[in-house]
Amino acid sequence: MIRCNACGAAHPANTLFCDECGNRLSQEHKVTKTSFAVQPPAEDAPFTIHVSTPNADQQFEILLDKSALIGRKDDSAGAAPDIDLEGLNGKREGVSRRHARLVRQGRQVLIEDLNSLNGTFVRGARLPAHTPHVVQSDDELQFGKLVLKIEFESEARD
Amino acid sequence: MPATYYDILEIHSDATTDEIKQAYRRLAKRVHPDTSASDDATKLFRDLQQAYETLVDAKQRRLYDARLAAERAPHERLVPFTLQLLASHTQLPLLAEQQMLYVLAEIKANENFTPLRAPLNICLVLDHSLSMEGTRIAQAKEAALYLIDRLDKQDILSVVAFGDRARVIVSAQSDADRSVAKTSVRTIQPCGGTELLQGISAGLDEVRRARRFESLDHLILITDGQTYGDETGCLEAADAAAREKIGLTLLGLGADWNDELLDEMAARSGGYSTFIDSPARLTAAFHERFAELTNVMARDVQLNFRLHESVLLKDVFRLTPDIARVRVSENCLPLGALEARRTLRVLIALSVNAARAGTLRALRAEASGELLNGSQSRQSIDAELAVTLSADIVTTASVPREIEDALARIAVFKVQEKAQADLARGDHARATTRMQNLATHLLNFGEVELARAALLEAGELNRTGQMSAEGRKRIRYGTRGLSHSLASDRKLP
Repeated sequence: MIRCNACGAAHPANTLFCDECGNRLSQEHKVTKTSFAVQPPAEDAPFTIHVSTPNADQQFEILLDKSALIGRKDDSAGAAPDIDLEGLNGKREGVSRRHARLVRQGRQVLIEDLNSLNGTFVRGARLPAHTPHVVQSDDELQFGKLVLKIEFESEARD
Repeated sequence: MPATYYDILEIHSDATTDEIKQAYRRLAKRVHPDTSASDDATKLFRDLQQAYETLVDAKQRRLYDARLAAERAPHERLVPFTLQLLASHTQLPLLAEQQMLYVLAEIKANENFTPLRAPLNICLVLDHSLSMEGTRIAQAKEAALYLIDRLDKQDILSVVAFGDRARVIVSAQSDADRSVAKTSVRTIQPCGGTELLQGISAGLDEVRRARRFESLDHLILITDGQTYGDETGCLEAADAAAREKIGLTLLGLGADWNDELLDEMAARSGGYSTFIDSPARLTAAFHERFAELTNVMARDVQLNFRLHESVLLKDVFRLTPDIARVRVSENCLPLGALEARRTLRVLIALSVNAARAGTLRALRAEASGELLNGSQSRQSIDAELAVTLSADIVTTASVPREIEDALARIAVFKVQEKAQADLARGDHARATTRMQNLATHLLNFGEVELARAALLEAGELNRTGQMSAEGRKRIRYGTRGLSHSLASDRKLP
């Protein structure tokens, strides 16, 4: 069952539009939001990504030159992502081992879905696989059911 | 296979008219009962005569060729139309609760299939009650005259006028002096009430009387008033029309006619009902309807379906030509006519309650229709829709654009329906909120006029607790018309 964000009416799972108020229903299941911060990079210097949960001490720091793999660590399958979401209950939340990657292009940060089973969503819309999409500060990125907020840190921190 | 007319005349199927004549003269001498010694000369001669008369007439020959083509072996036959099923999701998560699955069914005529322009057998049923006095009756007559002028020699026309009683103004006939028909139409004067059933029954009788094997039978109704006490009869008449493959076009003029009754009649018969806001638009509506009727390639189109035991049917809407509910009876959707250049689209909402992972064969559908190519044979084509249920899937993929767009419009139509239901229950506050919601959605679709009408009615509701009858209809039929911005192949040449 899902509820309409606008009017609160209940509908069966996967209903696409609310026929009480006509709004598009969001399929997003509410989960704990985790945020991770990306420092907008200088033109060619490697940049740093911080992943942290709001209530948490959980932080990742990755030095990124070109791209960073987001997924779930699985030794048996040889998957070793740069940003491992296993610690955030990745498997249950539907994160693939190789789920998506962050790519930098100059000063821009893009996200590319790697044909994951449950998809990568930016602001609620599912990305087509292998089609990089520009990420902006405060965007919500969703991997499977896991929602992460991405925030750019001010350049002043350089 | 029995001898064809070409075999009888001993000619090729691409023989010219001259060759047909030569062959006939040659063979007539040989098999004529006066000169032939053969016992069955009379029969042979009669067959020859019939073969010659059919093939020498270009129109009859075309019909005959089409019939021959249809009778050939199935593998030689051209598929006249296709059925495509598109699902909102191809993969579904395995849930312990019910979930929705939407299917867009498209029935499309094969471009290589050339239908014949079937002879029309139309009865025009005109409400001439007192309320029609003035521009309404004048424009209705104008539209009738317009239609008469567009008919071919082979078409059959009848006109019935009804008030308290029905009167046949022009009885069903083809190739008659159309000027007589026009004069009769001009004499119609307003009088009496609106006894809808009287008009419909008399109209259907005219259609029945004149119908032929190859004719496309249709009734066009123009009414502006409420009928009282005969609604059940009207619905039964619509059911009968559906059984007898008589199409219905139901046009409501002004604010006072019974839209629910006309819509229900259309829904049961695969017909079409709409609101004509100004009498001046009647002729344009006739023009459009006439173009559609002469473009029909199959009639009595149905979509028969079978659902998997874990799947339930929730809703069915047709999107062509307008958004309208389709009444389901015994797993069959009556869809009326299929036009050669317009895809027939239907949106089916299903609820899935499956507890096992794997492939779910959710829906099996078969589209069938009676071809208007001289053979009138019933052809069908089927398709299956399967989805994969898996525990690994926790979110659903993006939905195809076509389904997204169709559902957005259907949702708006449903909100409008719900506002009416609120109002019927006396819940003015909720109806007002819905009308305001509706206005926002209509604006998003770029329907500025309609949005303004919805806001106006929301204000009216707030002040008086009522909606104007005209505004109600304008919004109802306006939201139904939202489907026009869906399909690109809708435009007729």
